[in-house]
Amino acid sequence: MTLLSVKHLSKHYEAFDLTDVSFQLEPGYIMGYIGRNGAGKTTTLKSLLGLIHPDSGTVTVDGLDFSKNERACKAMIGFACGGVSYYPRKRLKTITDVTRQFYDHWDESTYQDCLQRFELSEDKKINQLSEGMKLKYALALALSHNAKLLILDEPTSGLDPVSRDDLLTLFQKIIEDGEHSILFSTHITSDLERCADYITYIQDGHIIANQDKDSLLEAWRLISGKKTDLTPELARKMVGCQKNRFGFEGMIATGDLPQDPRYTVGNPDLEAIMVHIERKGETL
Amino acid sequence: MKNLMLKELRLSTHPMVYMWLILITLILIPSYPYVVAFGYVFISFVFIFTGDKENNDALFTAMLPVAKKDVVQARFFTVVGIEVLSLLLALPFAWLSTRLNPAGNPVGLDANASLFGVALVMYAIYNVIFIPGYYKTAWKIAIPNTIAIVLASIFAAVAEVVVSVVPAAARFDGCAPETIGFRLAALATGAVIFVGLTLIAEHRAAANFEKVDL
Repeated sequence: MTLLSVKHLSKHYEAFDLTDVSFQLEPGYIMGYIGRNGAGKTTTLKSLLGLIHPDSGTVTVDGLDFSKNERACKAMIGFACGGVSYYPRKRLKTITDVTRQFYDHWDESTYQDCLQRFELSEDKKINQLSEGMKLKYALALALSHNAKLLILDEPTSGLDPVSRDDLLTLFQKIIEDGEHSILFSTHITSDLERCADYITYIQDGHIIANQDKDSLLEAWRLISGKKTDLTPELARKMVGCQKNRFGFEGMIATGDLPQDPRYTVGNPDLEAIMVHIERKGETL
Repeated sequence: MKNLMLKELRLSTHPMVYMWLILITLILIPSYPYVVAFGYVFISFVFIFTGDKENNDALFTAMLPVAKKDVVQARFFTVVGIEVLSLLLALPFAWLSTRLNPAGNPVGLDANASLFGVALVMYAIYNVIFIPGYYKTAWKIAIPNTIAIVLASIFAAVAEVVVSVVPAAARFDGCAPETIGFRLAALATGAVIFVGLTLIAEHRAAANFEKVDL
């Protein structure tokens, strides 16, 4: 059964529209949700939890309609939106004591393991933690109630490289049993290269790609050459083409790749795909 | 709901709430408008809701496995609990006040059943104006709180004046056994209005909070 299904989610703001966002996530996979700042990532993730009231659309968690089963759906979700921004003068212990009461499947050993792994002291107050440590505490809470689905907004952006590496390893361990899934938004695309199975790409409130990571990487090629070799037909097919006095470089759909030895062709990573698409705001 | 109430007690209920409740003892002062003693309870709510705002409580609570309407319901239990506690705390002091001041209160209602009826209506007005107003944003406190306190105060002032200047209404004052029926009727009316308006307030507040984007 699909663990998370999002269908036609829309939300209108004065200066921004989230339009017809649809995707789904099966158990046992990690989905990366990518897009520029302000593209609609956080709005989408908050809508999944009902923190933002969408104008239309449905969210289903493990077969349950979120709008009709808010409590049961939230119990299956571990959510961290940035670091902990609430009760700054309370000790971690107090917040955890209150939080754990709400979850039937709270796993104290996982929580203690997270405290140790993230080097968190329960006696500290939230405002005594750095931004990175606040994020780790939010993750510790999200991971400790055996949530089937983890929804994490920028979980790695404030972390040092060692913690990031540790967290990505933990993500992979969590989904190993084939029952848990992780949806996380980020603009650190190198994290997704390492652990994501699927990529959903949002641009200006619209989903422009929703596919497995390998096919997305396979769908594009980087191409460069001398300025004089840039034909009008090639320029038309390219995405995010940049010219300088030495030549040109851009990205092209693999199917449109010219078989011509004058051009240098390479494989893009996710960051290159994102940069080229956003460079001129062209759509896939 | 039990878990939400524990959260309300451990995280949301500011210690100053208990301090303001102590001011219910003002009922013992011989010449004092006793409705004011109940009005101090409103200040304790300012501490709770301002604390929510400073601590980003709405986001914290909404992320827990509860429905948004549960968040509002728990807050109503807290507010109504404090209001009822203030009335219960006032009972022994009201009894003592009538014994200490047998001549009655020269500047307003005596500490009798009518006073409790007026206090219940004050609380009802506050609940139905402030709480749904607050949950329109889960953020703005000042305007709905000011309007609620002003309207509750106007009602209390009108009640006090009517009892003082309208001869027929004088039956609601004092502690004479032959007029106890009028005072109990005032208390019962206050209780009905309190329950009715508070239920309406909860319904409206939950509907308002549902639309709020956190």
